[in-house]
Amino acid sequence: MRLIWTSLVTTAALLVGYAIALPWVPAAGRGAAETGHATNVTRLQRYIYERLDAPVVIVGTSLAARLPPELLPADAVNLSQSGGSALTGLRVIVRSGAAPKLVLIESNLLTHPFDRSSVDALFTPVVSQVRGWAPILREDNRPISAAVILTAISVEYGLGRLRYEGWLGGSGWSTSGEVRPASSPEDVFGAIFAQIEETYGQRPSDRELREMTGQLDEMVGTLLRRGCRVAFFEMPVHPSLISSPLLRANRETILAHFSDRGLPYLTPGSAGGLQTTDGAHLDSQAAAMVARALARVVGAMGIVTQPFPGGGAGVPIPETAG
Amino acid sequence: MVAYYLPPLRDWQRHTLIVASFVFYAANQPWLLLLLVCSIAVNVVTSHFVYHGSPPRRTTYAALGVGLNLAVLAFFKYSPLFGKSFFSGTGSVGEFLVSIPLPIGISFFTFQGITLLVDTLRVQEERAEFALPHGFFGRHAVNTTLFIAFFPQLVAGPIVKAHDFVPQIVPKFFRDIDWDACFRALVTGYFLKMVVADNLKDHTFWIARQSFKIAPGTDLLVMLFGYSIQIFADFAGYSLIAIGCASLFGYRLPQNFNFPYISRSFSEFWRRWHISLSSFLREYLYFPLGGNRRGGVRTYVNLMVVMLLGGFWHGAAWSYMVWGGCHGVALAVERFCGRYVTLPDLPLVNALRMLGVFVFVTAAWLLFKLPDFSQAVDFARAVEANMGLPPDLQRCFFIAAYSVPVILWHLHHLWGKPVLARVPGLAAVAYGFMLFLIVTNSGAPGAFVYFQF
Repeated sequence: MRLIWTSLVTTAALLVGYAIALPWVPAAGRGAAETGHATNVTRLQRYIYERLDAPVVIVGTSLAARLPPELLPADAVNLSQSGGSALTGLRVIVRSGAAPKLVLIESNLLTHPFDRSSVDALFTPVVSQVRGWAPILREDNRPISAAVILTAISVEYGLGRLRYEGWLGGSGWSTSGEVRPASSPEDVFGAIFAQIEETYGQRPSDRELREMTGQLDEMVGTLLRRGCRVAFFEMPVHPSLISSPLLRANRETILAHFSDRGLPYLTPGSAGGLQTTDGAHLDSQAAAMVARALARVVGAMGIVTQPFPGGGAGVPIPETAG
Repeated sequence: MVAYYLPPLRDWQRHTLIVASFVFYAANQPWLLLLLVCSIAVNVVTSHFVYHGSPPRRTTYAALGVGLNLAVLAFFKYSPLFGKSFFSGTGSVGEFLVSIPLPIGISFFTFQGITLLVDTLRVQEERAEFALPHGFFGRHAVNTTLFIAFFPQLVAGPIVKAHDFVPQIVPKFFRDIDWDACFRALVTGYFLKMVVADNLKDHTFWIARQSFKIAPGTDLLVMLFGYSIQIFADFAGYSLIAIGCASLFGYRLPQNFNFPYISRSFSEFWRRWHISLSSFLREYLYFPLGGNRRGGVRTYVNLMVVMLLGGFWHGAAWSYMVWGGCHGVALAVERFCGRYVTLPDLPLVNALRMLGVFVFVTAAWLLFKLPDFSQAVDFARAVEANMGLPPDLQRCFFIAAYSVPVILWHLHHLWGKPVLARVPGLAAVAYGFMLFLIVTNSGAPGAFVYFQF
């Protein structure tokens, strides 16, 4: 038993030491999410522990996750989940007891199931409260993440070269000489686009649509009772996908189900000119245009937020309808 | 656990564990509990007749029981593969076969049923020391149910042999728990799973994405290395958690991993990796086939048969069989060369041998991650063609950081002078540090890799 007690004391000492040292960890190491999942969890935790009073909350998938935060209203929170479901963010708003003035729900992939384990983990009794006053237990303060990110930044800085920007759509492929990848990015994006077309080509089953509307009924109803306003919006996609069975089924189901409650449904009138990286995800320029347009819509709905910092020209999307 | 050790309930310890095991199994897919119960019933009845049947019929009953176990395994595990391979997955037959669900842990509990039947037959035929509790049918049924359904090892092993486990079914006492051993196994197991494997999986999953074709070659190699560490940490972690849990209830499960990545030969690797499966295949397949006692050619054939079936046991895809075949060929070549060449026992030679085995094993894991052969070939092509692209240092550093504990763990064992044992208090600090990282740096929870098998 001596081993156990000594180990527990060591753990406690390390936790206390890390809590004391955390404020001195450079900002680049703190808050830098290591993976897509970490980014998702970090967004949700920051909302729960720091931004619960945000007047505008956006929930969506990786499509809306690309909206640049600096172009959204300053006090808007984007809970969109890369590789996840809009219902995850919605569930978090409901369970947290928050009552934002406006909740914008991305409707493209609403039949995706929400991440129950992540949501349950966020609200685990006791742990959730402890995480509230002990930031060292939050996703964006993981010690190995901080150490590795700081090391990588230092080495890259020392090497004097830009970092490789990402797997998809990034502009930072720093190739050297005449070396070319086995497949050109166009080939790969073509293959990914084919996969996306296949996904969008499948109409959700009636059971999936019923489950989706059932969950939306419950959560949207709760938010409306709290005095929130709720609106659905579609993220623009490649023109060939706009009338795909998946999008059409989601759109028609939501319009049919919620039209009697007068919930706005914002659609991209024409996505012409907007570039995507793979057919579904907007590139950074297009995402910026949609973010500005959403910010204007929020203003038009009479939601008072902090001054909109991005400015920029008006954009014809999204158009309101329904 | 409190109820389990209460003195008035001591006679109900086995029943408590059985109920807990059924609840544990049913938590995922409740209706599949019926399959587990049926499988147990088949083994209870057939092993009873093997023990009590007339001598000429014992082998028949045993063969019937083994056949039923294998039939259940084949139907649930391989039907989708046959549906896709021979019926194109379309049409009523193809769709039916493809739609059959894979019950969690079926590969493990059917194998344990086989050990029960074979061991029971051996008891009767060879008058071995091990004896099943056949006092009366009810007790036999309870003990057999506990043996097959015992929750720590039910869904992913270690595969326990009847002659190891059944003799342990006796009343247990709280005072007999080795708390330090349980703590060591549980902390190490959870660390390997939650900190190493769960974090690595979020960096290595790109291997299975189309975009690997444009990733830098260095990244691809590092990710493959990371996957090798991940699959070890995931499975070794689960095994240690199972061993620790079982110890809390007074049962000793066999060691499943013994630092496999320091192996100097492929035969040594299979004595260190998934030991419970290797020993099962050796004891219940390789030896009955004749092992190495029937001449050189037959030995090589036996090796290939065992490794091909062992590979196929891992998953319902032809690539798993190829993976087993690769290891079978490696074992056969090693055995053949070993007859003519004896390598000197020098540190440099040993290090090169370890490196060679590790590289081969790691490359073969690609067939686990990419069961589609064409993708595996594309991956190899991308490694070569993209080697000139600058690596994503952050990703490489993350994989390296999460691999360090596994590498250090192996090196610590390799040195043969365990620092943790020699320096007082150092072991406690190490376990304390692991606990700290479990609390602050666990990855996103993911299913155990071997659950799919």
